[in-house]
Amino acid sequence: MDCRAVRERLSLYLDGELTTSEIQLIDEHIESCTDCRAELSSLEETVLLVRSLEPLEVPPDLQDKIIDRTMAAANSPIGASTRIPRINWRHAWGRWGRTFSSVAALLVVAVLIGKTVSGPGFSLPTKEVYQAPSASDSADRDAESPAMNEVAEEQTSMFMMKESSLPEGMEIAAEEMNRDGATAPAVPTERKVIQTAYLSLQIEKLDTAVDLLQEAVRECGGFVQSSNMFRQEYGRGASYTLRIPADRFDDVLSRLEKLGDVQNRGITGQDVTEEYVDVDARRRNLIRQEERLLAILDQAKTVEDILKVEGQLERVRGEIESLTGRLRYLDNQVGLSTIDVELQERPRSVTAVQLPDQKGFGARLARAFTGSVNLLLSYISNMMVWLVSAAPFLFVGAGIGAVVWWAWGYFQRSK
Amino acid sequence: MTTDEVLVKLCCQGDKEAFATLVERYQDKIYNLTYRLVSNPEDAADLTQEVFYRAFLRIKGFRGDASFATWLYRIATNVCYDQLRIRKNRQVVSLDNTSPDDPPRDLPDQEAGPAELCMKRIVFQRLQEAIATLPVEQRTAMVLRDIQGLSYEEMAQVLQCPLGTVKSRLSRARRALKDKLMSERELFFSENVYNG
Repeated sequence: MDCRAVRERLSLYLDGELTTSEIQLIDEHIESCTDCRAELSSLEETVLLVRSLEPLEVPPDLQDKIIDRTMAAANSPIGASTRIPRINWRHAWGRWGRTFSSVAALLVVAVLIGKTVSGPGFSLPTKEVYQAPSASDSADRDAESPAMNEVAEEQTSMFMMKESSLPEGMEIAAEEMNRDGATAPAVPTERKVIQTAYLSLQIEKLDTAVDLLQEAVRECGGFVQSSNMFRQEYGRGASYTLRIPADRFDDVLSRLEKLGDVQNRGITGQDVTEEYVDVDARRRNLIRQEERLLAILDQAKTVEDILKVEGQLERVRGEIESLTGRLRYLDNQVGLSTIDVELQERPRSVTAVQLPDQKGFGARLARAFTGSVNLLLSYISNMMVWLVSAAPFLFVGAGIGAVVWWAWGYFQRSK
Repeated sequence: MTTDEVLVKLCCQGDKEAFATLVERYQDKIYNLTYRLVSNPEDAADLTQEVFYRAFLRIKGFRGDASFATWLYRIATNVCYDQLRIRKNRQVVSLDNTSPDDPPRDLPDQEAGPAELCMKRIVFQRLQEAIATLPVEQRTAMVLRDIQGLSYEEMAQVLQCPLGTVKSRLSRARRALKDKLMSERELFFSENVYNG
């Protein structure tokens, strides 16, 4: 094991989360390496220091406040028990969207200014160059937002389908009751597997990797559930949680692996078929029970009976709701696999940063300078073209102005 | 002592006493968790309220896959993330402590106790500030492990991510914090301060 590998494992070493062979390797390494030994002791001291933080005393009135607030809510009916994790599109779109749209807006303004300055009938090759990126940008945006909407629609339609299948389920249940309550609900034969993958990559440049990652996600119709970027002494990093349609899971995963060196990779598949079938069956049974209770309710005579049956009904309905929610949640989890990606830039050698390539730097200066000169020249020429193209209007305008001025003077004199 | 599971069941049936017991049992942990994540005692108190409020609304959705504590922690981290996201969008300017170079607030009276006690409080204050500069996911991992004392498996359940992610986040958090503390090593690593 080299020093870097050792240091990456020191945290786990402290917690005793390594295998015996790994522990032995680290022990051996530390025996001989003073740097790593120092690293271990400072890390241990850090952890000890954090653990020695004293717990804060809870404000004395906190408990009362909590109880007051919840009991106020308790008097209103308790909401649906399991909620489907709502996707916050604003957040998913997030900062990238905002930067993107502001850049696009700037480009549009720039193009508009360029157009008015250059006037109609103006065509220099530079114009094409300036317009091109903005056009493709806005095309990109257009292509992207419907795609997002599509995903959102797909989500809702998936849930709506489930909802519309509810009365159907009741029909089946009713039929089964007629057939003397045979208890064999239709069993879904396909396996329901929640796929989760974890991928940790070392990459050259964060920006390119992030671009490629987002492209991959966009193409497969998935979305970024959360993202986080951070900077550390040894380079920048980012972590992403991606939700990918289950059938594109392997595809996307192998694409992501190509972004850099894979440091860590894990895939877990949680088979929830059993739970799904179980929950589904329980729901069907409860729906039948609900039917029966409704029938009983029709026959109930006394107020007391009605209240009793209604109490039961409420309980059954609450349970149905909670089970339906669970089914939806499972559908969502199974339909969209989760991939956790951690990107970490390769530590750059310090010498390269300190001694920039002299020749390259000069070339950059020269490029920047000539670029600005060209831009200035093109603006001057644009201005001249504009003046020439506006000349007819100026002539006509001047003519009208002269007539008006003369007429005004004549009118004044005649008065 | 009644177990959490029993209390949760009672809660579902509308037993208010059971809920009060759960609050009493966990408010300490939740308050400290939120405090370490948002670094502000007033916010922590508000967030703790919010956590229990949400827990109460969803208590029927608790299915006992994980322990009640884990479930509650999960709500708490989500509540804190929401809060931190809002806070990031509108920059809060603290009147108490306008720049990191200012002396930390909550400075104890010099007469309040012996010098070591005062020193210890400064160290803890600085330590909390250092923790607060960690990226939020790393901070959460560190707080759950080293302050709340969760196991790696419990953390994976709370954070709802694979064990590998938990390990790497925690490892990065500790190394980053260590680097920060090493820059002020005479403050943090002079032995007698935190052992005394």
